[in-house]
Amino acid sequence: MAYLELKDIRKAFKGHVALHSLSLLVREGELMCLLGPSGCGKTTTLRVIAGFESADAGEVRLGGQEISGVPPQKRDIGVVFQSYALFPHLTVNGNVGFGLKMRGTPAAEIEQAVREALKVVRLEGVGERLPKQLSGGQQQRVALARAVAIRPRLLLLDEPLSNLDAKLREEMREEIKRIQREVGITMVFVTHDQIEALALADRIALMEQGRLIQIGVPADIYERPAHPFVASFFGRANLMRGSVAEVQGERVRIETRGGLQAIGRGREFAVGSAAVGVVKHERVQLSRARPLAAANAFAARIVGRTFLGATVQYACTANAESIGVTQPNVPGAECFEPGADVFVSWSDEDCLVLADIA
Amino acid sequence: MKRLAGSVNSLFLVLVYLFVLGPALVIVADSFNSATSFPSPFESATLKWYRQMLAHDEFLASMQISAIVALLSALIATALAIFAAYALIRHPLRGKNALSTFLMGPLLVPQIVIGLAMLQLIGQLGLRIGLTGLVLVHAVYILPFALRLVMASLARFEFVLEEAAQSLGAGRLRTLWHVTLPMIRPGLASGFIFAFILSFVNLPVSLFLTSPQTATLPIVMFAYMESRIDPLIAAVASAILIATAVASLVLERVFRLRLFG
Repeated sequence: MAYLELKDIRKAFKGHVALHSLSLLVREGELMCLLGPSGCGKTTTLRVIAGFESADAGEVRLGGQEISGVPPQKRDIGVVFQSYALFPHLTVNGNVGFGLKMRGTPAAEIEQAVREALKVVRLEGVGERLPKQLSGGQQQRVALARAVAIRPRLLLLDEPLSNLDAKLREEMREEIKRIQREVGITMVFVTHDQIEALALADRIALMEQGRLIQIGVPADIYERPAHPFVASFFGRANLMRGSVAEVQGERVRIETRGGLQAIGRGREFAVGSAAVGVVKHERVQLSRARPLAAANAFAARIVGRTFLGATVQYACTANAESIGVTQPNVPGAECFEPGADVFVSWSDEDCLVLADIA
Repeated sequence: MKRLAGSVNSLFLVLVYLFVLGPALVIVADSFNSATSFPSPFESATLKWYRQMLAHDEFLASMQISAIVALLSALIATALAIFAAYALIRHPLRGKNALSTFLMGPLLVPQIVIGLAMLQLIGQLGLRIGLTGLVLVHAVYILPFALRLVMASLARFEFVLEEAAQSLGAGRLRTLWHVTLPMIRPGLASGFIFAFILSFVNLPVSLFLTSPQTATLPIVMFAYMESRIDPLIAAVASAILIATAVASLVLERVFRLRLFG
């Protein structure tokens, strides 16, 4: 059953439409990630849920209750802000206890709750310090503790990891996941970082230009994008635009604009319709000799190579089509020099054919 | 070369300070001068002018009135400035610039005109010019100064902190009290102090609006100087100067704020 429900939310700012009739269901205890490029409306969605913005149209329901008219201070929704927004004039204890103080909780109970909240985020013994005396990671933990201390019905996180360095970001990612398990709280998390979304989310809602494009569990959304935008957003993918030349059940052959006859899997296509063949970079094989078994094998030339440590990336051209390839840097992996003539190949299962609507 | 530039810089600073504060220092020196006319060459040091000042009922009474008027009008002006600054900075108001200009209006009108206009207004409304009227008119006159300072500190305030407070359950008023006001306290304090000083030393606005019972210190000083000029007036002026300086220093320490620069 839906715990948080957004129904046909519309929001415009001075003529610019930020959200076009957005609908979204979040289950209780779920960690939902709103993912998308900047300006896609994900932060606006979060602000509508928190009550900082009111939608022009539509409904927001939490636990079955319509809350559109409820001011933010009465929603019982915890928010972790991108900038943390810790109160600079209050100590860590003052910050974490703020919500309970506003609720008129007795001082002794506040003290107890603050201690517990700081324990949950593994930040003990800094209660008397001011936020500016803490590191970025510690401030982040205080912000989390402050939001969970009020035992909110829902926790919203707005790009909470974007101000941390790479190593700390990974650590906090695990922390947020652990806290979510321990506290059992429903979370909506906004990010533009696909890795963060894939690693953290129970489900991902991918947004673009104020619309929800696809929603699903991370593996699904990665493996089975429903839209060329989704395919290009996750990881690195070759998008080959063209038109459908032949359909045999789910087996679809497309003739790409770059002059390849690519075979892939797709549904409900008519011959002649515009389509995109999507192949992830890591699903493309490189070989010196023409592979016999592959459904798709094309003569190509290496035009660029980038060494990335764990992987090596190649840029190739096959006919007029640019094909990117990512190969794992494992023992025995063959190395190709730029300028070399090779074959690129992939199986028909790794080539997803989508309707070209973008 | 660098050192030369440094000393030229310091010399310049000293000259600027002398230019600004020099006349005031001359007054302070005069207040300790035993010569009976003013100004005159320094004869010998004495405290008799200060003793006379403390025995002068009119000066003492007017100091009290000035202090009350300044305190009340500065409180009113600062309170109004908080709401006005908040509205001007936080909310996308229609006619925001017009409102801002309107609130800054008293800066553009000669003070003597404010006093005269208020006198006429109060007269036409058939009201009596009492202490209340004086306080309100002072509040109008000092509002722009308080507003400027409060706006400056509110402009640096991060409004996301208000959203954080709201999400934690604080309504508008409690957010203002627990988060916004504590954060802009330096601006409030300096706005209040400037407003207080401007009211305390104001002559032109008060000129038309005081009766013998509500004569403020500058009015009494002005009247005194019309009849005679002796170093007693220098002693009164120096007392104001010293009190202001001491008050500013104390407040700078207490609020850890820089009032002047």
